Amino acid sequence: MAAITEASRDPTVHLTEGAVARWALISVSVAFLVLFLVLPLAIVLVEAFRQGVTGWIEAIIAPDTRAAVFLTLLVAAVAVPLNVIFGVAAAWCVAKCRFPGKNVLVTLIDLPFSVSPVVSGLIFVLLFGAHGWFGPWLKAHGIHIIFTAAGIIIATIFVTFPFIARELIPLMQEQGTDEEEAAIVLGASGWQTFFRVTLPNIKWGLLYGVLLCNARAMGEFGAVSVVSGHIRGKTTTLPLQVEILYNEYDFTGAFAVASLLALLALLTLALKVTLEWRGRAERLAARR
Amino acid sequence: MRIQIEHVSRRFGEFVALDRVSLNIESGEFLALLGPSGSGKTTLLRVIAGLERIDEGAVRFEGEDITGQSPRERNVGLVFQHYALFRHMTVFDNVAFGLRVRPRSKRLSRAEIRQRVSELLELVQIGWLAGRYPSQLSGGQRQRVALARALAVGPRTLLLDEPFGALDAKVRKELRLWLRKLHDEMGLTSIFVTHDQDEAIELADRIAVMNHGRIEQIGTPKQIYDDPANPFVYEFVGTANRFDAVAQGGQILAGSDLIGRAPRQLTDGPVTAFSRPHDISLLPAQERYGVPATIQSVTSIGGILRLKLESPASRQLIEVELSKGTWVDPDPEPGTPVRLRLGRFSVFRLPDHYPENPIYYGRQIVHVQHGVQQSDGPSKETEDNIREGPRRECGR
Repeated sequence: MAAITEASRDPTVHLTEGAVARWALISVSVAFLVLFLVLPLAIVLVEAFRQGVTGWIEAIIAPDTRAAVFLTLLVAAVAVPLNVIFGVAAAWCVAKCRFPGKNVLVTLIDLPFSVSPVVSGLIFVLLFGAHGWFGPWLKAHGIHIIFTAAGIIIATIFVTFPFIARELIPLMQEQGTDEEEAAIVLGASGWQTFFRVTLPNIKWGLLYGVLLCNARAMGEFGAVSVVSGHIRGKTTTLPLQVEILYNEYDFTGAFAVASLLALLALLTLALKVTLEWRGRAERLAARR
Repeated sequence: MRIQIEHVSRRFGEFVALDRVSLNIESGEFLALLGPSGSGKTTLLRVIAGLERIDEGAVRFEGEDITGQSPRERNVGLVFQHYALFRHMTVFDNVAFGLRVRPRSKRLSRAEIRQRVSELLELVQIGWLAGRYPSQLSGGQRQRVALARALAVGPRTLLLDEPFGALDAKVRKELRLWLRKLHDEMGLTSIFVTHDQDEAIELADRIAVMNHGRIEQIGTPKQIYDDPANPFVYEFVGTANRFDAVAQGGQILAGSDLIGRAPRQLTDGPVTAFSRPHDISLLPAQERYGVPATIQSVTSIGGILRLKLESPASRQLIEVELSKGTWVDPDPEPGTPVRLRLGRFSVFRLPDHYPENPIYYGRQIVHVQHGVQQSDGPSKETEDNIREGPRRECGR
């Protein structure tokens, strides 16, 4: 009883835990972070450089690895722009138009998030594979999708398409359609309205979505693994290359390639924080 | 520019936002669309701007049918309720927008655009804010930017959606007068939407009172206030007292007490009499005519006495405003029985289920019969009385 009155006298006291509890909580969090985030990252780097910088460089410039880097960049370079177009279009019609079946569309956009990546890959094998629905037709026309870069790109697009739309929908809904209407009444065409009014208003959100989409496109394993066929130097992306090297007991090589992906993750994280900060600052400024 | 709205309807699913609305706006006129929320006034404004398509009817500018034209082609100036300034552009760029998006053949040179924008910013008295962003402006300043932006394209008409809605009371009054002056000086044809009767009365040449997607009455502020066409207008613009009465043998009676003479065309039967607070005077209780009532409360403000009274003839409290001196000293006291003389009143025949709250009443079923106006009443309503008439908040 006395403790309660004591505490209520100082308004800050009952808002914070006691020193012991505080330190316990902090220690648990830090231990967790070290064990599951810092340690693995450190191990990746240590293992990658176990045979020195030269070893690392040699592992990176091995022909198969270079091919994997190239394919990964290619996949991202095709999948991300396509998803930008798709994401902006989807977000636009969800946020700014009224039409029946809107909720169904929103749910469909989320579908790749809720489906296991392996299943996503299998869908395309079932559609385009030799015994799939379109397989015979594709074969007759000499088009190969499964076990080629095309298949990898399609699977990647599917897995990464929610990122940009998801990022933009709430942003565009919050902004409403007033500014677009104002632009049109002032005589702007549809494209002028989009490039001069809509796009500048969503640019930080869009960049953020692109970043997440890109990170996933480069790092995707499951769906890509199913459709790729693991043809060395031809249809292996970076994550697949890591697996191949690891399975062949080339640990230095595996970790060297993994360190590239880790680098990508760190870069993404840094950019993400910057973008979030810029976007928030601008939104606050707009609301003030 | 003359604007004609002809039998325009707009439905959103089951909801009828505009129900065969017809309206003519003369060149140079300042027209107010006044009505409660959901009455269709904003929809009508958006129809004129071209932002809302219509299910039937036509819109004409200077006689030309522009119903099928997109907002781009109509060349109207629209000031949005929350201004809708481009948040990522400076004030200057906002105002210049309409000039910069023109097709190359019709576009002014950079220098001309600069010149024109500067002139407009001076006109709306915010030249010194040209480099600021909308987020750095006050509400009143934003409104001026929105106005300058709308005027930049040399619009054929200026449309304003609740132009003062987001401003505080003092700025609002100031901007009102300024806007009216601007309208007159530039020779604009302007239409503005409001739910604030004071604003409509003070600013507009004519007011169109809207309710349930229809225009209930259109007229000068004086006509609307002094001669409401129906019970809705009577109660929406200004304060109205209602008395349950009967028309019998050329007389209007509350119970057995005489209110006044009935208009000639009125058939016998139950009616409702409407009267404004300042059109009612008090008589001693022993008088043989007038509506009996009992004083509930008395408030004295300046030269005006505000009374609330209870009467068997009215379901609500009756409000009366007396100028001091029309009642012999001392001031009337609560509890005193009196009789009310309705110096000026209108009689309408309402349907049985006419609701207490006029905002929600269905218009279609009301049979309106025009009422009496006795000439010998002490109706000395001045501009001041009108302006100070209590405001009514409308339901959302």
